[in-house]
Amino acid sequence: MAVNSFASIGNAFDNGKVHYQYVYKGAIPSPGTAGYFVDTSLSSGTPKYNGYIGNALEATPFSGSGNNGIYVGNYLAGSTKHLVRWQAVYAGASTPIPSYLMLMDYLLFYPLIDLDSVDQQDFDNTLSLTRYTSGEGVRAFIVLTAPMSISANCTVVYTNSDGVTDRTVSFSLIPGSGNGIVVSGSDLSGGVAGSTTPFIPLSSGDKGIRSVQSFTMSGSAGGFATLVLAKPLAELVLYESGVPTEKNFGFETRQMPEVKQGAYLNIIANQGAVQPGNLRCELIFANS
Amino acid sequence: MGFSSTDDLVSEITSGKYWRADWNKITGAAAYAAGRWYDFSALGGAPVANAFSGTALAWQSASDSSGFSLYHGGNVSTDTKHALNGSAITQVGTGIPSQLMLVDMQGYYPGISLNSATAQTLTGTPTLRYANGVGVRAYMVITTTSGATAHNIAMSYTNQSATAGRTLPVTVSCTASAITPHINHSGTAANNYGPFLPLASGDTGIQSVQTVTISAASGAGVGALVLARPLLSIPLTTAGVASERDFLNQLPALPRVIDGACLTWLYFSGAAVAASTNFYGAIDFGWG
Repeated sequence: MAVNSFASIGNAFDNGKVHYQYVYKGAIPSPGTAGYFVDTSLSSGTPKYNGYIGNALEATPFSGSGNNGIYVGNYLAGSTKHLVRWQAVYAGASTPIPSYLMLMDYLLFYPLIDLDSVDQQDFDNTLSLTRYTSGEGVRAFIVLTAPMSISANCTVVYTNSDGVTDRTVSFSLIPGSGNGIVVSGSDLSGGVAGSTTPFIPLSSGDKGIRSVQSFTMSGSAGGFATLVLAKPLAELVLYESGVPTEKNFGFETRQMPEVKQGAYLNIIANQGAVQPGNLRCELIFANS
Repeated sequence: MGFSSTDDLVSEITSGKYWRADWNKITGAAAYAAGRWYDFSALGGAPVANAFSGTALAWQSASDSSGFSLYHGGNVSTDTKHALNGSAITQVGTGIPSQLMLVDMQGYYPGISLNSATAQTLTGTPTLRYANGVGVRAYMVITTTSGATAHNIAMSYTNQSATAGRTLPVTVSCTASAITPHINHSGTAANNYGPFLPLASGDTGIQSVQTVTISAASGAGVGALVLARPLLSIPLTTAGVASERDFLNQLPALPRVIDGACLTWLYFSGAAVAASTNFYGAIDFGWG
């Protein structure tokens, strides 16, 4: 079963199978430079602060529960859960608009990548994806947990969603000046602001990432970073400070993103201005 | 019954099956903190304030004749009544951005001590407007300011399948020194949840609550545990500009208002709200 029709949305509301959730982040990270993405999970509020706590370079799965990740309500046996509405707003007059928000299911992370080291840093994949296990549709982004000083190029070796190992991509990290800035770029652009996508590029023909084997810097850039595997679920654009944007999935997009059991939902945001941002959201989830 | 088409909707409401309900509320002498939920039924204005009267710990039913309910046009059976659109406004800059949620309050258990760490047994059998309590949720609202000692809330309830002994699936913390009418388990702390207390896995509603336990005597305070069903929400975006939601074309679509419904507002503060802030609004109802 799935929430895949107007009737099924109505059924969910009629039968109490909906959950209203509210996000409150008093100060999400500043992008440092306009046009950079930031990871809102690295800020306190609701949901809880995500410190990317784990052993260096070890695959560490995310598991959502309560306020660990955006709370999506309880799960019902035999049902699937879907996002049916998402509304977001930056409070106040000085905000990072225009802003492009991406709601994602954070799946797994590799913490404490040393951006000063030019040695190959091999990742421990004892643990693997627990959702989207093939890796199809799964993307990777790199977020700072200690600031860099300069841009540098890097190489990532990963296994794609077909299980093919040793897929290799090289790209530039943009020079993030603060924690929570997403520094993964799209290509070897030299790290200019516009090159952030925020995901690392995929090798030709690939549809996703199952795991990452290694990370190598071509030069020292300073700082530490975490590589995150995540499944993008939905997007929203904020145009004005204090004015919410809302998307009614099914009505406007004809597609209601599924939220897997155990999902750890959080948001990254491309910031049009150098402001910390004061984010509030309403999300409505419906069970089939 | 209901509306078989847009033509039918227009025909029904133009033949008199329509009611516009205007309301206003003013917050009290204390400012509200950002990121928290408040129960506007306890505020003065129109309709009048809910005093959460009754014998301590004994169920008190609420209906459209309770006085503090928004009047919505009376009983219409065998027709069904639906919210068609709604609007709200505040002139005060600190009142936005925020959310208003309209709920059908089923009733409440008043007089719950927040200065007691022992389980408090609730009495009475709720008569609910929703069969088996489907979609009915619970929240605790402060009726006398709580004490300064940190405390959590736990409860044992009977779910929609008449299974007793259901408990909250996560630790839920309350705000110390919470004011009237704060929903004291909502806020921005790590274990705050709001506006409703989380349901146990697999549950879609609450028939009744048997016990409430505060983990530590807070030092003072009284609360009421409310059972309510969420119907719709309206974002407040800009001071002095009315927000309007179209319930025909947006989610939830045409939320039903059952005969006898006790309609009250919950409020999510997106910013610190100044004392004595006014809110106004109206909802259009139609039936057929």
